[in-house]
Amino acid sequence: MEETPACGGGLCDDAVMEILVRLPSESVLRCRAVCKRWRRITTDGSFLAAHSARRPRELMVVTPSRRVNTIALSSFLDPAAAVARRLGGFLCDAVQRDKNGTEMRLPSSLLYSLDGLIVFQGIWGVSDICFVVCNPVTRQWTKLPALVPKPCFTAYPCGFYLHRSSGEYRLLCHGDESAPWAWCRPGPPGDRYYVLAAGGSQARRLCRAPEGSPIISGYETPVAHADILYWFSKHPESKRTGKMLAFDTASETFRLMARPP
Amino acid sequence: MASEKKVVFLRSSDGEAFEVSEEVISAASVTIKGMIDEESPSRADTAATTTLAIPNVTAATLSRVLHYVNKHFDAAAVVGRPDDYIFCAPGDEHPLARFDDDFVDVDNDTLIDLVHAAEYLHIKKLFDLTCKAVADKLKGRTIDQIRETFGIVNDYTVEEEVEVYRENSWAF
Repeated sequence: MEETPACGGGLCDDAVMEILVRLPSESVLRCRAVCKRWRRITTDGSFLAAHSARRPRELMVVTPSRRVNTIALSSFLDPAAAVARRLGGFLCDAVQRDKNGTEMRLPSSLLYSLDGLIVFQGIWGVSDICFVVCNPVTRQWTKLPALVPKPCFTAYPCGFYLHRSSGEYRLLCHGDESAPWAWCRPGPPGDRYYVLAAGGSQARRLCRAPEGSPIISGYETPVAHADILYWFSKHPESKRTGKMLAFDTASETFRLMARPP
Repeated sequence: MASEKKVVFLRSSDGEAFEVSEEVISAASVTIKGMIDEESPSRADTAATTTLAIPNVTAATLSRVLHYVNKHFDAAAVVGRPDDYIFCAPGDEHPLARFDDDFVDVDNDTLIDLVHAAEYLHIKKLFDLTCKAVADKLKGRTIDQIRETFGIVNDYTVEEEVEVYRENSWAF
């Protein structure tokens, strides 16, 4: 058996994995700082899957105010453990510290979930809408490129999808570049579709979007089928054309289709 | 068939031989069961006992492993529920829970040797037990203590280490 005396006390990867998989999430993350090999083992997909399978089952709930919380299903059995694991806090609310160091929880609302990822919309500041992708298993999160206040005055999230050829998870948004008081000024309306990719630095402009904000303050959650997203009625064109909107996530193009009978 | 108790001898890496019931060790260790099955056609009609070489395990560790195996897998010795007691709540005393607690109450090197042996011999219950014991030892420790325990050299540069801390900041 090959020994690696410099790292891991001669334990092979499998044994290290079997040991670390039994630790609570916090200890696992701490162990990533021990050495490169332990970090590699604990960031591997198979490790994360095995680790989450061993965690006590938690129920994810969305409250009427659209905030997301987790409830440990075992918490009734052992309240002390639940307190020790700091359950009861909101899962994905960002915490900001003010000048005095006091914690402020910033409310987020759940938009979409896909492949174990969840997308939140956070209101950070007065008009600052930001979108956040979170992996609740690994407790990692990333902010998507900003769309508001620049370049858009306001933005409506449309759908979240996997762009297969690049492997990127992307959020499609309808953004309005012109402020509502600018309607009397000359110039083209500023409705556009944007794509926000996790890890990207800037929002990418797609095609021109139909003018006018979507009916009732936003797009409905699309139906995804065979890599195409469909919006039945709440998009701006539906009133005028009576058709449903389809977005091909591979080519990132739109088309209008007849509604199902 | 059950009346005659077959035994096998296991020879440790440092040459010491240990006697163990074939039935018990076959139930416990997938690896040794495989070795015995391979051997069996040639010795079916001979009375000679088999000696199996266990090249990865020292005598000190092997004797501990066999102590565990005899406690856990000898049907005559096991009383009560044989399975799953490891996952019972602390107050839920299984007849062998105390034995297990004492069994893994050893120094780090011994414990890690046991993890190795359990892995090599494919004794799942022992592997689970020892891994859990190592994990318990890790739980409250600082990074430096963990490195010391396992003899791990920190191979991060200062920048990388800062980055790892930043990335996982909520855990620290």
